[in-house]
Amino acid sequence: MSETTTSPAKADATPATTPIVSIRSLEKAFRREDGSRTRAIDGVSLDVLPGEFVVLLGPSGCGKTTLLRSIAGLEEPDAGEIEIRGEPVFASSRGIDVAPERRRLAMIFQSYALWPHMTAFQNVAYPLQGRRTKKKEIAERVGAVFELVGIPELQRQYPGQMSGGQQQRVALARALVAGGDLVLFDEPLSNVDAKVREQLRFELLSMQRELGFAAVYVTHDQAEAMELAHRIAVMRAGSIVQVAPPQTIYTEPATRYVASFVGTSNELEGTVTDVGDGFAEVDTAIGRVRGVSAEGVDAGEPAIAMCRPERLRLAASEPESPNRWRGEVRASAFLGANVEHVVDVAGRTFRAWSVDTRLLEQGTEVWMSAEPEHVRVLPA
Amino acid sequence: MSDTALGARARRRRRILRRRLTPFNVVSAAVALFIAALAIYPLGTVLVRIFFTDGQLDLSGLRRTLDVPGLGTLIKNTLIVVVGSSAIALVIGGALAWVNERTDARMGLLSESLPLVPFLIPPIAGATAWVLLLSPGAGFVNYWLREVLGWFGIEQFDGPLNIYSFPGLLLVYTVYQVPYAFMLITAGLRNIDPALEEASRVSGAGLLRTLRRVTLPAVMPSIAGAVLLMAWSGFGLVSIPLVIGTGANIHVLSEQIVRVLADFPPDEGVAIGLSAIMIAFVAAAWLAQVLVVRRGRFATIAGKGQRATPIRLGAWRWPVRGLVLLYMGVTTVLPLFALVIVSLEGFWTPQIPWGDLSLDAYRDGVFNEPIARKALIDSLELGLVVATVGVLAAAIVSLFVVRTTPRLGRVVDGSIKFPATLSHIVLAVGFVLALGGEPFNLAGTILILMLAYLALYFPQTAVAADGAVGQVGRELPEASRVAGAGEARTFGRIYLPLMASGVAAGWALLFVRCVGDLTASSILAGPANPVVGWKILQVYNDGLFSEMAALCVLLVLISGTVVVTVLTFTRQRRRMPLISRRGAAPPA
Repeated sequence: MSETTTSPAKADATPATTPIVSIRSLEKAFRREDGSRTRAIDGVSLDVLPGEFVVLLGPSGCGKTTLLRSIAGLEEPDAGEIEIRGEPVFASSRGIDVAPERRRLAMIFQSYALWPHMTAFQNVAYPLQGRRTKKKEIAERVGAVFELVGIPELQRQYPGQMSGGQQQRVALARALVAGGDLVLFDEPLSNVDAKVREQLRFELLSMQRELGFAAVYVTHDQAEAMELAHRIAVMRAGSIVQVAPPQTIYTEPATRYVASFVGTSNELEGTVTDVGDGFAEVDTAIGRVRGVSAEGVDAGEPAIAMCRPERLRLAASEPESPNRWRGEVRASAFLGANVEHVVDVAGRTFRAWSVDTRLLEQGTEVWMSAEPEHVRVLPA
Repeated sequence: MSDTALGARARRRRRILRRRLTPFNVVSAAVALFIAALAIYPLGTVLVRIFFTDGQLDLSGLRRTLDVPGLGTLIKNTLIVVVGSSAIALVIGGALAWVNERTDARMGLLSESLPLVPFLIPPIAGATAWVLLLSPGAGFVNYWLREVLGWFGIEQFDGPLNIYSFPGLLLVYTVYQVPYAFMLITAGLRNIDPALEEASRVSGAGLLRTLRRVTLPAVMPSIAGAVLLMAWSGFGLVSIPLVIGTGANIHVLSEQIVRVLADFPPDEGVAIGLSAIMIAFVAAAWLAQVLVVRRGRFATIAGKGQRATPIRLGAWRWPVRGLVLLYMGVTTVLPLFALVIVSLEGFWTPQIPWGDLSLDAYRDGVFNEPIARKALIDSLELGLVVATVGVLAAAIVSLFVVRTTPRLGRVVDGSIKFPATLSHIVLAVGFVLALGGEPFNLAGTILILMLAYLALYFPQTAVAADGAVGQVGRELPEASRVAGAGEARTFGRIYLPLMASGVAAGWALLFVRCVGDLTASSILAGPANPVVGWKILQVYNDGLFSEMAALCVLLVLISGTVVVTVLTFTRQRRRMPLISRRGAAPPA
């Protein structure tokens, strides 16, 4: 198929490593009960490289699960293209739609989707049985993967007899047993309690780095995304807003939406007065604020100045920073790793985190400041 | 455009076709088409024949129908019996359901399953049993009542009760309507959040006010559904009016349709005309139900949720329990008792000759009587074949409906379920017209009975199969597809085992319906293709009560054994949870 369609020009454009998943201009709309249409996926393009861990992050209803299911072939998009390992599996214009069982990928479902009438062993052996693997080899590989996920003793149990965390491990074993190079995860950790979740997250991370499969992972939990991802794709209303490594998403959010969805942020609306040298100045309710300018920020336009709480400094005496304000402490709370001070500046409240664990009295007068390189000016 | 490009395009098109036109989809579509045709074709024939004969506009049948002497009385009787019995059944079934779901007078499995037992006693057996109990002369209950009255010096030769009357007819109709009301209202009560009622109680409303203001409106859709089911089954019931109505000289539509077709020569025109009247009534009931359901917010069937904390009835607990037990005793134990005793007596007498009971009636009346034996074997075979074919077809079609596009699914679903809900008796008339004569000439064959049973009872089986498919959920089969299994393997390894218990229940239901059928059989069966229901009616008309009772007892035994076996089997299999109930979230 590809021999006839790939032109020389396109071959040149192909990067050194072919993405394992390549999505181009994908569209999918759902019809609601009342007849109106919602765009679940609205022109999404995304590449996932071999061995890469990409997290689709967004609130519920943003289309991330639909996108994942489209990759798996469980959902038929309306338009666009999906390639897996360079082979088109979906192309609306060319009428290609490869069945899920022929896409050679694995998926972990939110409910785990373990078949209740089969033992853990039978569940995990299932993907191998369709491939004419010998019985003995199946037993060996299933045994090995049970060792890998740390539950060798549970092979004879039925899913109904297991805890949520154990079921999760069986689901993971089933996804890994065929040794595929692409695993899809649909909020797999949302049904286990916090302690187990942390443990599983850690194990999943080391397993993925060790086995080297590419992962596309859907979640609404930003901490999970931060820990697991090589790259995070933040989604909103069917579109990808920003794709970047976790550090970049956190320190250099492209929009106010990304800034507020990932991590805690202090935000100030204002008007841009000056842009230059990668910095911008914004007129806000508490005075002029200087910060790093994001893309799409122009003088005279409304903008948002954003600063993370751990970047706000409090001091008794006036600091030298160009961004400094007098404020009053409203409350101080000990959060464990740090102390959160709620500071009132000209009627606006800010949250400042300090590793210094001393609490401040309510009503204490303080100077609050932020270095310009720690403030980001975002398009409103 | 080059040849290679054209070739590539053709290949692509073939690829899409291959994905849609899988063998599985083709088979499913064929099955759905066949089942739909099985109901639509006969029904269509009836509808066309109301107005046309041999392609000519011909209203003579309708005119002769309107000239049927006493047509007004016929319609009036039908309405009295159907509406009256439905209303009473609604009260009884609703009360039983409420006591069982909401009060501490419930008795677990006993009170949950016993109201359904009449389903296991086919109406023909039930109707004759009530004759044995309440016939003015030799009826057991009348005999006992006369004994009691005798102690007070009141001597009577017959009565005091008489089955051959409107109250008698209403009684037996009601017994067969109550299970519908009970089932649907129970489901309705289970599906409303008990917190709604608790909120009302906490807000200071008493038990009765809560019942009237909160509970009743919430189960309104279920009540409407029950009324529709009862109207539908009530208009179509044949055995009860044939047995009791005839003796009482109270005639109803369904019985009259059977009668004009059984007369020689059969008057198809009038049968069709009467069917048209019947269709009008059932359609009206259906319309009313749609209106009720549309007006209120329809409670989705969740099937889970917390059971309400039972309301404590205090001093009323045991009297209520007593009433429930009394109802069950009267409606199930008494009729079964009458059938068993009469079958052992050799002839029907209310003075039970305890020392003289024998199995002669079974030997002479059933096993050594060629037609009765053939009827028994035919019915069993029909039950086994139709139940197996029907349940498999239902499973395949249900799967097809959930997996295809929503719109096509609705069309297929509707065309399969709707025709048979119009009226069983009309559908049976359609079979006579459509398949009995040229070109099929199936009259008097087992095959026509088989097809008719399938058409008549398929919708109920389809509902059971829908439930089973729904239970499997979406992710389990998807996980199989992603794991590399194609459609056929997913069906065999995932769907089928997970649906087993639901499918088995559907099989049992279908089997019982087929074995005990008299609706289609009263019109389509005969000496050449006898079935049990038809034979019971024959023996009853011949006045051979002991032989008739023996046949009824065998029928009940067979039905009961099958259902109990299947239920035990499925209960055992359910020890592992069927679905992990966690993430049935809609696509995010």
